[in-house]
Amino acid sequence: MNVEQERELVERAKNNTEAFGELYDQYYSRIFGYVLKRTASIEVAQDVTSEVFFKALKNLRQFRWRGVPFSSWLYRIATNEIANYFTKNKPWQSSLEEVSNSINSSDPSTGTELLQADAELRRHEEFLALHENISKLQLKYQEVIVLRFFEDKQLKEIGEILGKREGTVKSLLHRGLEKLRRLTE
Amino acid sequence: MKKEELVKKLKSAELPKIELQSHRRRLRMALLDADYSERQREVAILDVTKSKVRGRVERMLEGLVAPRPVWKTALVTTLAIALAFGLTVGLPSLIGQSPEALAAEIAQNSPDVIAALGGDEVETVKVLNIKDNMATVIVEGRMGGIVNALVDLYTKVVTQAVSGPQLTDEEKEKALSIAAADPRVQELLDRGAVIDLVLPMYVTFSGVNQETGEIEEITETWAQMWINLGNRQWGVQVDLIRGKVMSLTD
Repeated sequence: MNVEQERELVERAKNNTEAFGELYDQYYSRIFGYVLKRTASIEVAQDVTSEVFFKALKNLRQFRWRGVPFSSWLYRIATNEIANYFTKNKPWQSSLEEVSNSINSSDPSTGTELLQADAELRRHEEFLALHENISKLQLKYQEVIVLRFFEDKQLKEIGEILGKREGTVKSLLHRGLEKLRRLTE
Repeated sequence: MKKEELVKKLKSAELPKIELQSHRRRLRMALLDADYSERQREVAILDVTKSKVRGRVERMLEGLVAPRPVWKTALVTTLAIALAFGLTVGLPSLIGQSPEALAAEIAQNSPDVIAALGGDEVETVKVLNIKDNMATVIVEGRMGGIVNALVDLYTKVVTQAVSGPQLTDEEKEKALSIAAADPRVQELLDRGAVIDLVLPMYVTFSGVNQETGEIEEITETWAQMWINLGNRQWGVQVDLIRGKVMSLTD
């Protein structure tokens, strides 16, 4: 979808439920993936992603095009929701046992899917090791590092998401990497 | 480790590409349902507003503007505009009942609903949503009976009254204690919120039959409650079997 198509879809979604569904289909995976990479928890990623889209739905009519893509707006909501989550909760550590305990013995497919997803996440040991160190950094560094390296965003786009100047993002990234480097030593 | 090595490691790390189809589906449905309900509510309120204002202005013009000199026309028009403005500004008091209040009144006085309650007295009435001028209303009896009623706001009749699932007192207590243990609910309660109503709800989802391995539809009874704090209200869905709050929506 190009920018014009996206813009047209967003305008339609302000007054049309199905169009909002199309927007959701377009961005669900990216937002869920971003939240997952920030939190390394399937359960938290589900909760936060839900919050993001409910907030987007609630505030869509206030969204105005000011040269910032809709996706950046969604990423911004997600970043804020993740920050809210971290300020309210201790870093969440999930385990297969915890997930197992949270589902019923009748084992509905949602529970099975959750278990499989958690097992899949645990398989990414290198990512989890990196995440563990990244999560020790201040949120402002976590945000820029994950957006730059795990979401492959350019500095300009990171600036749009975080509402910061490109130069500020660059400097945060530089300092964040330096702190992360020390942690990985 | 050098900075270049770290950057290389970050860039080359294999990232999880996980999707939860069940969550994706459920969230989509919840969002579209919420969006649709909100739009219908706005349309219903707008329709009532428009017809009230139009009706009053038309009646006024009919009664006042018969054989009219020009100055009278101007005066009447000015009065009509002033009246329309007044009606719009002072709308809540002049419109009369809101669609929600109307739906609640029709439901609780409906012979079908009273019959479905099986002699139980009406204790609480809750309007869950309004779509296409059809309101879904939950009527709870003093003895714990629940009736799910569909109210047609145009014809002002209950088109369907079905006895719903029931929660025992123990299940209600369990739902309340599960909710109270949830940090998000706790936070609301700490801020002075009150739990308004605890009702049963059916939840249907796809599940794996452990004997056949086939995916089939499973229906469970959960608890739904509403938490009020000032003008805000949160809906809480509690999974009684797994003992956790499954959703909390503002």
